Amino acid sequence: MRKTIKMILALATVMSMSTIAFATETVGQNGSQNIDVIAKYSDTVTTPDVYSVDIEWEDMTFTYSEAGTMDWNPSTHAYTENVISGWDKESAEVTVTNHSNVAVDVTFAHAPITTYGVTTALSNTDSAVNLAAGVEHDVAGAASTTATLTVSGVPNEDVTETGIVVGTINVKIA
Amino acid sequence: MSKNQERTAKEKGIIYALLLITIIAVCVTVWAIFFREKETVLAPDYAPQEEEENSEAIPDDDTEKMEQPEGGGSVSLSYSKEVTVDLGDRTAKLYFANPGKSNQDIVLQLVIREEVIVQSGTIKPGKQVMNLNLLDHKEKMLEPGVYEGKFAVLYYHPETREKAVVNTEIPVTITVSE
Amino acid sequence: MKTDKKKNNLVIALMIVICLISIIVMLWALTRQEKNKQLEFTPPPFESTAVTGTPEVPAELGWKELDAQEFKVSVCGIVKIIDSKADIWFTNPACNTVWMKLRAIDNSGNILGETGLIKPDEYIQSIHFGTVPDEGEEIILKLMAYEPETYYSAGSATLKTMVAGNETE
Repeated sequence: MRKTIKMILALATVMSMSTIAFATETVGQNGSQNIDVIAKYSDTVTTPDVYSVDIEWEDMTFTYSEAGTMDWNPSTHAYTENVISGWDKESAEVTVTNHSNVAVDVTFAHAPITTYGVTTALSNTDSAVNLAAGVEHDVAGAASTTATLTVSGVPNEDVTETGIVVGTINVKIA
Repeated sequence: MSKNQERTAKEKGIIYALLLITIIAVCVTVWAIFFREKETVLAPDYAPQEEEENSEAIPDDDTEKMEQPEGGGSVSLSYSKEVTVDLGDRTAKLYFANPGKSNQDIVLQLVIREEVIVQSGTIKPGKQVMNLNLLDHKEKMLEPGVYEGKFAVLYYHPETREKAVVNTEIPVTITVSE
Repeated sequence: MKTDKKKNNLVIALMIVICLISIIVMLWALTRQEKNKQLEFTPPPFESTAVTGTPEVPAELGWKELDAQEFKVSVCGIVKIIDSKADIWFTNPACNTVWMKLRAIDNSGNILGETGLIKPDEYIQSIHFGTVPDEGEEIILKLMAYEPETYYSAGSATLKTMVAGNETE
């Protein structure tokens, strides 16, 4: 048993000596060697695209109203119009705000209504609007765009005081 | 009147006062529970859409509700533009969230060549989806490859269930695999 | 004497407790809000007077087609009520894929009358008013579209108009 242990220890000592013999450089007595210490920066952090948008839209009902009187003038046998008429509101808005970390393109689409002599039109439909990416720590400053639906014209004599059907507004975000 | 008689009268007074307060409180309670005019509840106009079974709560979503113009609506969307479809599982892996600050329910459609291949149930504010099932037989129209498609996002009022005037389309890239 | 005093004190203490409990229960009853019970959805009935085709409507009633993109609809903008009914010639054209109904509402949101459902290529001549608005009163005609079979909302459109006449024959 003792002999075995001694042999193993001797073998281990011989092996370690041979390891020293394989060193690339030998530093002599009183010598010095510079060893480069290398630190590396490995950047594998990714910033995946995060898309986040807010969309808000107002009530899309418009009312045209006429109020007042048509006063009969006995001397001329004619009515004098004493009527105030108009739309309760002339526009409604759709707003898109970009909270993504990349820019997005926003396109609005709407088929104009030409019923009852009235015209509806949506602004901002000609081309896509590019909304810049969100800026770090600036939520309130997020880029936004607004399309405004406007109503104009006077309803024809077939129907007065009629609200306008808007239909659907399509918001495309690319 | 002796002190004892005074004390007794005082105690009786206290007991009567407490009794009176108790009776008044009981009467008001009975009125509030049984006789107070209740808000009329109307039956809904539209059928409820089932909530998407694959939707889950958005973690750490504690934002305040957005302001909603009267008669209008407001939503916030978070999504990824990459979608993966597995024909074997008949599922679409995607990311679409309806943050808690939204005021509308969402139904999400995945459309390829004007064909709806995926339609979610209702995704309520505060919920997100990462997996949706293909509609019946839609896997037959797809081959492995890359397609350009779109999300069609439909909005519904959470109480009246009425479809909103505005809808949204988002182009996406769809990778289909076996 | 001492026993009487103790008895009175006990009664008073008990009364105080009962009084406090009743006040707490009263406050709870006053401040609680019954959660809006969601009544079950019942599919609206189909209109029994619906007629297939396109009507021929008198010109003076201002009957026009409206395009809401998701669907089209025709209805009269001039509402003249005779004996609680008004001819509005509500039409669901054949090109639609939705079922429709029309509801008349006042400015406070109260329902004045409504039709049943009509399918594409059907029309209804008149709407019956359960609550009859006065002449000159502003009313809202709400056009409601449904996805067939599922009864999911397919969108809606509103028309505001004024009651042009109210007669009783």
